[in-house]
Amino acid sequence: MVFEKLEAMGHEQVVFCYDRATGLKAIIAIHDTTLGPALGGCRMWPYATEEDAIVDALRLARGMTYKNAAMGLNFGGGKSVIIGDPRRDKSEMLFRAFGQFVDSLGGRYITAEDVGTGTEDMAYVAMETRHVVGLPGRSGDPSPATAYGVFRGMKACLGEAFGDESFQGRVVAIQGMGHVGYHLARLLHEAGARLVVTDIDAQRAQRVATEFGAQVVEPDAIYDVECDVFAPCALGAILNDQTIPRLRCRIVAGSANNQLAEPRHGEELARRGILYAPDYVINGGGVIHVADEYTPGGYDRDRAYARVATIYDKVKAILTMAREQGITTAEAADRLAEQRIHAIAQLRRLHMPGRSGR
Amino acid sequence: MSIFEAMAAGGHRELVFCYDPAAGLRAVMAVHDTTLGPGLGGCRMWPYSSEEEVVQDALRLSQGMTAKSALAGVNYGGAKVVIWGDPGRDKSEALFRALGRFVHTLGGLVITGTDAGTNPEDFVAARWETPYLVGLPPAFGGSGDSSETTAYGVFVGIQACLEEVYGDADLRGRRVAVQGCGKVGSKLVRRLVEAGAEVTVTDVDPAKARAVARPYGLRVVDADAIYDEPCDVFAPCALGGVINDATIPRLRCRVVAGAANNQLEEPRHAAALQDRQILYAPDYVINAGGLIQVADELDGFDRDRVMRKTAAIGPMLRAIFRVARERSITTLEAAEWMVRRRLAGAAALRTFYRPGDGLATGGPSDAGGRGRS
Repeated sequence: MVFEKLEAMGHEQVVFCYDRATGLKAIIAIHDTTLGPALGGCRMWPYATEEDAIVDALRLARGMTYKNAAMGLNFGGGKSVIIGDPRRDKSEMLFRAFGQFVDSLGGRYITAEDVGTGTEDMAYVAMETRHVVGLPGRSGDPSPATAYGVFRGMKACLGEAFGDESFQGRVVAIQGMGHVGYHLARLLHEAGARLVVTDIDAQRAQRVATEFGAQVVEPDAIYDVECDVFAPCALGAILNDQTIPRLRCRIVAGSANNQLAEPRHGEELARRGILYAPDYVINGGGVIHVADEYTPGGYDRDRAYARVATIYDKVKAILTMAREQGITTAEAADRLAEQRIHAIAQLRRLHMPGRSGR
Repeated sequence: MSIFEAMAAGGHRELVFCYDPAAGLRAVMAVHDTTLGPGLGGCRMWPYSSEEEVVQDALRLSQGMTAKSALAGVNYGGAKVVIWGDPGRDKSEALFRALGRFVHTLGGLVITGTDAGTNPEDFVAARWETPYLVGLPPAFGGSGDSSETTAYGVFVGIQACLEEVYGDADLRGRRVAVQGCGKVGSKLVRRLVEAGAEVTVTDVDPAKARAVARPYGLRVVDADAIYDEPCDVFAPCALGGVINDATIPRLRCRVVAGAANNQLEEPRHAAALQDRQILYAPDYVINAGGLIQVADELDGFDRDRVMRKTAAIGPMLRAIFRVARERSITTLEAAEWMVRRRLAGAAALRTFYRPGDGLATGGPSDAGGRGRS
């Protein structure tokens, strides 16, 4: 039942969108808009059941509330899912119909590419609504910005763990050489780190070996690599009961979403003295980057990257809070995000002449 | 049935779940079809026993509103808002203001107002949050009670039925049995009597029936006896579902034409009436006066204009009767055919580009897309 889920997770609104002509079935979930319009990508996936799609949309929307709050953005949390096979079911009309539904919310939800969708699809969405970001020709591919944010956050972790923020001679094991993993490898290489990499696609790993002198290992061997930093940049839930005992690192800091299989795995890492950079904080560079499109005057690359660089400070604040309060870094991240949302809710009590309602 | 299956079956576009724990609000907004324009439909408040019932009601009622608007000649689509709560216990300023904010999230795609369980006063506070409301009290800019308009629409509809059956719309000497002496029923009675009809009335509350009958010296019958009353027109103006397997064999009329919603218990009862050679005026067509009135608020309410638009219910019913005759279908099927025809016609108009209709820009080869402006 939908209302039970909204109640359990604190969502505001969920919109079921159906278009007979194209067969579009999409769900737009809006979690919390205290900070502003809900910003979050559009995922396309062949969900086995409607229930799976609802749960995924709600869960991802909630994650965006925390991410956007942690990034200091004035955007709330939302996400959309299109039920369908991204390899088979895409069409111009499907994404234009989706764009019309996004438009029906009048800017309360802003969409972007996500798993299963790309900038080309969003270009069709943009034919029907202004409320889409990350198009080619504006901020474009967010991966380099995400990688840069991870790099900055990792630097803060090095300072916390070693009292020395330099990458010179540090060993970083990167899982996943997709868009973000590749750019991260480049940044780390340029900063003097030694790289051990893996990917299920051996060619992609080999490219990084050639370009940046990385050592390549088999996908499953990455957990056993003796290193300073383990950087998960592929799948979620890779920090679990099986992998954590194998880790031989001081820091986990990477771009993958939902790295902890369960919240208790954050405690398990802390117990083993492994510093964990909360995923939604360290991988927030992408959303900071696309959000820059909403600055008056439009996207500016230098400003966007300067903002992404502040992930260093955000991670540092979280690590400090965790240390001082004796909580996990994941808990500290959640608390800081919730505190910000609460504080801004209080700000809204002040009437601002000329600003309606907020 | 899953939500998407139900939407696909009814052809609905959008179903919005709205939740605000601080205000105690659980509501569903259903948008059925917006070919003609924004979805217009009332806001119902009811203590449903399950979420499934909430969803079903919202989907069913919004679909009905598409058809109603299409044949009322107004340029609005079909929508409905349903608040899951007890109107006797759960109402508050915060609840209706929260609802107003949710209505506003659709930026005018849904325009709502009073329906079962809500009243014009409930929406006064909601107006602070959104302009997309109709039917507020007159002091707050609404057009006020619409029962006079609805009664007028039913009156002209009855005339159209008489013309179809007898070739003469004159009410003098015609016998009309009116079920229900509420706001609309009582006003219909007055119009019928003034036009020279012989009216018999009933109500579940006998005092109400007597109060309406006394000034004109009308005959009052028991609530259940109304079905057996020999008459030209039976006018249901109270409950829904009154045309059913039990009542149809008892009817001694040539026409069923009244203000009640959902008069047929099931669609097949339209055919059962036809089999008995009883002409049925589809309820959502003949009782559209109230909708015509609140829709007119969106153009700046004008009572004379509303009455003129409501008078068009007569010609609309005559067109439906003609389609039913020509195609040998029931009047209910004919009305549905007319709905489809109006929607298709409006959709076809959109294929003609007018200056100012906006450009859809962007696309894989064009970096600058910014939607339709």
